Amino acid sequence: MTTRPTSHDGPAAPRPPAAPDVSVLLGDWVNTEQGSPQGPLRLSVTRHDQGLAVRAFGTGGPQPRDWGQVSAVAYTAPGTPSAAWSFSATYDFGSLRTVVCAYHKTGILVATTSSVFSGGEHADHWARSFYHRAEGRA
Amino acid sequence: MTPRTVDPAPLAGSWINFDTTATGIRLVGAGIDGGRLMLRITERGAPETAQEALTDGPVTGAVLPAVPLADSIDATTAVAFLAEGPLGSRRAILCGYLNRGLLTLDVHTVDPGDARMPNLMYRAHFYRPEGADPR
Repeated sequence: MTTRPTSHDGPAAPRPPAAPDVSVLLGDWVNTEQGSPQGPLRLSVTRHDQGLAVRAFGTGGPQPRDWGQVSAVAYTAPGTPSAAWSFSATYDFGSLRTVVCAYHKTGILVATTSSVFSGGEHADHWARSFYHRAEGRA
Repeated sequence: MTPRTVDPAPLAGSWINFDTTATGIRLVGAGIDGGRLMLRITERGAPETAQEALTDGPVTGAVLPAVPLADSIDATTAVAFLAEGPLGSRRAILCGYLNRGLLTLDVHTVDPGDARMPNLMYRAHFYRPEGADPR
């Protein structure tokens, strides 16, 4: 279910001992293919409570242009429990459910977007897309 | 309207992890049951029988339903899948996709029963034992 938490980026709050550092995932991420993108055009990843929130922006079909903000689950790599490198976020658009999974690798974000319809004439589909930080191309 | 069906056949078969030393998923058996794509997951170090009750132990033969996914809204052939469900005590999201004959799997797990266990994501690459498939 889509939620819209009111907290956004801000000073990093002290983390409880068990919470991994999510800083590598934070920021505005821009799809490297702006002309005919696979997946969302942009992802905004922010702190939310003790975890993450993601807001996605698309091209307007089949999802809306502004997907809204949802809570995300952060993941660490095996053997590295102190730092998150990945997240997942689930959007429920009614007849369409979209799961975004992403991981950070050498400065870019790699995201898979799985879109599953509960009806209609569209195929359930998938895309893999790459994102750079918005400030990285100033 | 009838939902456009995505043919899961390209995903079907046995898939073996290339990394013989890695922990995690060792084998994925992708079968089609009544038109549904089902995944049988075997993890490394698994005991002789399914151990669903173990809180942090390996799992043999966990079965997850998966959604076959095409590469566009108009396509009809699967190139990927999404599977969500339990792997033993953990909740898992498996994002798998075909990549030049390989199956790449992004594995995300959360253990809701043990806050000490970190959420994990790892990637693994699988091949078909019968040889390369040029898809």
